[in-house]
Amino acid sequence: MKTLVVAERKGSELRRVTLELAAKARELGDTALVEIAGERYSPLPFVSALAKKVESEKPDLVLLGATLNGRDLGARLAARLGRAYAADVTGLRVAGNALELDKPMYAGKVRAKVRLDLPAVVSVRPGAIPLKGAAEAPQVEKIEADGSAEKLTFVKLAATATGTKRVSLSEARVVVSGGRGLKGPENWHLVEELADALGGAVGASRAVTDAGWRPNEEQVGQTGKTVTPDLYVALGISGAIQHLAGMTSSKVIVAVNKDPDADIFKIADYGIVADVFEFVPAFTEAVKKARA
Amino acid sequence: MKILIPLKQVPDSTVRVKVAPDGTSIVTEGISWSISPYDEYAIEMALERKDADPTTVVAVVTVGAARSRDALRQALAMGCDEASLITADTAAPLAVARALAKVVDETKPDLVLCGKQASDDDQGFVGPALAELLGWAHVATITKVVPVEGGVELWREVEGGHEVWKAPLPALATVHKSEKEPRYPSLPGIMKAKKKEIPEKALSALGIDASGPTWTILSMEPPPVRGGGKILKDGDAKQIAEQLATALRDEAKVL
Amino acid sequence: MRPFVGATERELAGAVADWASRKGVAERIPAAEKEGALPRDVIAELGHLGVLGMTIPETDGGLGASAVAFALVLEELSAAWPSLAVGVAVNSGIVAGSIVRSATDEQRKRWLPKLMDGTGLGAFALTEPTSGSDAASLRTTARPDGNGWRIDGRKQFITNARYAPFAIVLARAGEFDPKRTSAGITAFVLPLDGPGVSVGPSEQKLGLRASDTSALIMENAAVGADAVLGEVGKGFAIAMAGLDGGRIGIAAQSVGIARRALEIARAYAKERRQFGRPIADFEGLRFSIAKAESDLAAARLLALRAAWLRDRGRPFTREAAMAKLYASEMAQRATHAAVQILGGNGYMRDYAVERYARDGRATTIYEGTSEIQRIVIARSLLAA
Repeated sequence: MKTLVVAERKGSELRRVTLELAAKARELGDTALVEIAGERYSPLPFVSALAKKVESEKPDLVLLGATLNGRDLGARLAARLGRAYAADVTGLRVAGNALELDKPMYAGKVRAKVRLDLPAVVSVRPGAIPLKGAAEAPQVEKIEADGSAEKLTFVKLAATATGTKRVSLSEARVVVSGGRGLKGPENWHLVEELADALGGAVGASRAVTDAGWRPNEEQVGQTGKTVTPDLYVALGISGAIQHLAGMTSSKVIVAVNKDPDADIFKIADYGIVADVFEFVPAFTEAVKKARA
Repeated sequence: MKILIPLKQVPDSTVRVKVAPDGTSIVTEGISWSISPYDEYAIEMALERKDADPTTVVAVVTVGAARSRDALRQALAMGCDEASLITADTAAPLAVARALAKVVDETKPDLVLCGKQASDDDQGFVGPALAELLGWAHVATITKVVPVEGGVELWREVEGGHEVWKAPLPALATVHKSEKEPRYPSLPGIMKAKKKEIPEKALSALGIDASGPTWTILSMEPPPVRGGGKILKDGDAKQIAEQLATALRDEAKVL
Repeated sequence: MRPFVGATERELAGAVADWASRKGVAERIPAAEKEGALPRDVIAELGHLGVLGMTIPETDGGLGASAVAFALVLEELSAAWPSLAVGVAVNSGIVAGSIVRSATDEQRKRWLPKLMDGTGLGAFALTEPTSGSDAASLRTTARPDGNGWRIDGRKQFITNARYAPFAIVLARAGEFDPKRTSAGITAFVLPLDGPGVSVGPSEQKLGLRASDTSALIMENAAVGADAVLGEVGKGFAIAMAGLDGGRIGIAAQSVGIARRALEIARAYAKERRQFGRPIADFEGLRFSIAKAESDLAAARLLALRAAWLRDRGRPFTREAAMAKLYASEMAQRATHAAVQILGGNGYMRDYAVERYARDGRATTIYEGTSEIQRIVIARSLLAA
């Protein structure tokens, strides 16, 4: 089994997902890492350079991170090479001369196992592959993006003028959500202060967005956003099914609720039966201390 | 300008998806279907162009089961001008892209807007694959399109801002979001859509083989049930808060 | 498949339900109910959506939808927000209906666009401080003045008065005749921005608080001859015809109110646990829901039957009265059952059922009380 990992960098550092992919690839057999060097990602120059590399090296599997650019590059590469393709998988194994993949579908409402024939192109969700111990710095071969293939012109980078520095809900590693237990929009500073202490995003239950306490875009749940952070903190949320659908795939769930029978406790890893007004300020302080 | 939007009909986002007894598909009986959300954004983006310039023609097409006609009808009711259906009960993703490439060859749109991914398989393959088959450049996950001299400017959200790319026409982009929320079909729009014809062709009649590289679904299951958490209750609020922060840092390793 | 309902009608109602459920309408409710007025932008959206022009013929620029479709749409609007449904029912039901039935081409061209462009909602001014159920005893007068008329009087409980571009005002031209009380009653189209017309303070109501209800005061208000709707002295028939159709609307509203209250109650009953199990497991509660849902289904069929007859040009006065009577009484029982199922939570503002119970209370009263419906039904059954 020969795997080519497409490396991505953030600044000068390899992205964590690249290390994860490299670890997985080594587990599968022969591994090579390639990084496409160009001023910025653009599909044609990148796919052209990468396709040439794949045609010469003939790896059985090309692995990319399911990042903004990785997903795009992977799809176009698969189309160019006529290879089988799966995006945003959360697990992969070799089964005979094919791959067996864990593939979330229907916005995470279904977990599928799929068989993908080799040769294949697969993008893997960041954080899905556990990194055991300190990852050794892998060797990465740099290839140049094929500028001659470009048909687009880069115009500019327009900085986003958003009022908040907080991370976006769907990409956040930590999400702190508030529910009806917060009593009213005037108490949201409790949610925000905890989110800031944790470096996370702010969410809300449907009851809260329906009541107009918070904007719709903050709604977590079946009709809102589906989030899969490392840490999800539910404050004053009872845990209606529709809310649970949007956050049960979080790695660790903390629930704070006054009602010991609240459904949210059934799925929480850490439950605190307490008044949010009393507990949250204390927890925010404790987090600041623990992270210091 | 003529804009083409390939769309996909998927289970409505409010549907509670259930795995069928065969364990490799979902229960589709009695569920409601809609246009995939990112495709709706693409339609809204196109209709915003049409609002600004009424000479804009917006067409939609889908490759799918016969029931997909309802999704096309919905797009017409939102204000799209034309719709066509290519029927195929199953088709490999690359075959879908081939069929769409044929539609593009025949109808010659200036701009093709695809939703960045469909909300059923969450693959995001067909848009880039269509651009590949056509030999066009594409810009992924855009949030805005602006016509400019000699083409269009396509805005793409990246960390810390928007990359702005200029593409000559014809161009293709996959859509992450429109500036406004997708509009609702107006009641007159629904009545008008009823009177429009939606031409239908079978995939095979286009001379396209439905096969291609694809996956085989081995099993499907609902997300695992969680449980076995612990309730922290020893001490006052401050003590519990400290226990929790410590547990999150040292035990769960998420701080 | 629902009896009386075609595919297109279902689709139109579905589109409105979709709009009401997803467009963030719900989040506008608390503030608007507190403030006591419908948000103008929501009215504008209904215009854009084509709901306001539903009942107006295509030749007049409307949708020309059936009475069945309109009833279904009112049910959906009412389920989403009863106060909004009331405003639409008056605008597109009684007001638009009266103009479509009785106005000259000139009048249609002038007034109908204002009822569908979303800039406001039309009003219908019949009730007065001393004439409610006995509508024909109204005291507002219209005196000939040159080529036109001068109107004097005070109208009460006028829905939409605060955002109406105009009202249809019933006034008496000529002397009051105790033997023929309806004689001389004439319908006028009165723009509300003219001299001598003012809107009184908004009433403070038990429910439907976002739906404006105000007095309309006319002091020597001048209108031209072209303001007369239909013929001079034939206004009472216009009002009664309007109310017939309006009753189907109230029945549909009642159905929508009851439906949503019961939906909330059912969801709650399945989630709320007491004594170690969901309260939906307790038979007392199951029976309450079973009965309420059966009554709801019956009420909906009555409303649709009346609308269906109307669409076929058949008499429907009795059927509309039956639908209004049954559905509005049903809504009282259903919303109170819903409050009971939610227990203490049902009494709190946080859960919407208390609002549905308050809003629903009006349905047995306006556009003819339950008692008046019984009179109408009995009169038609027992006529010589």
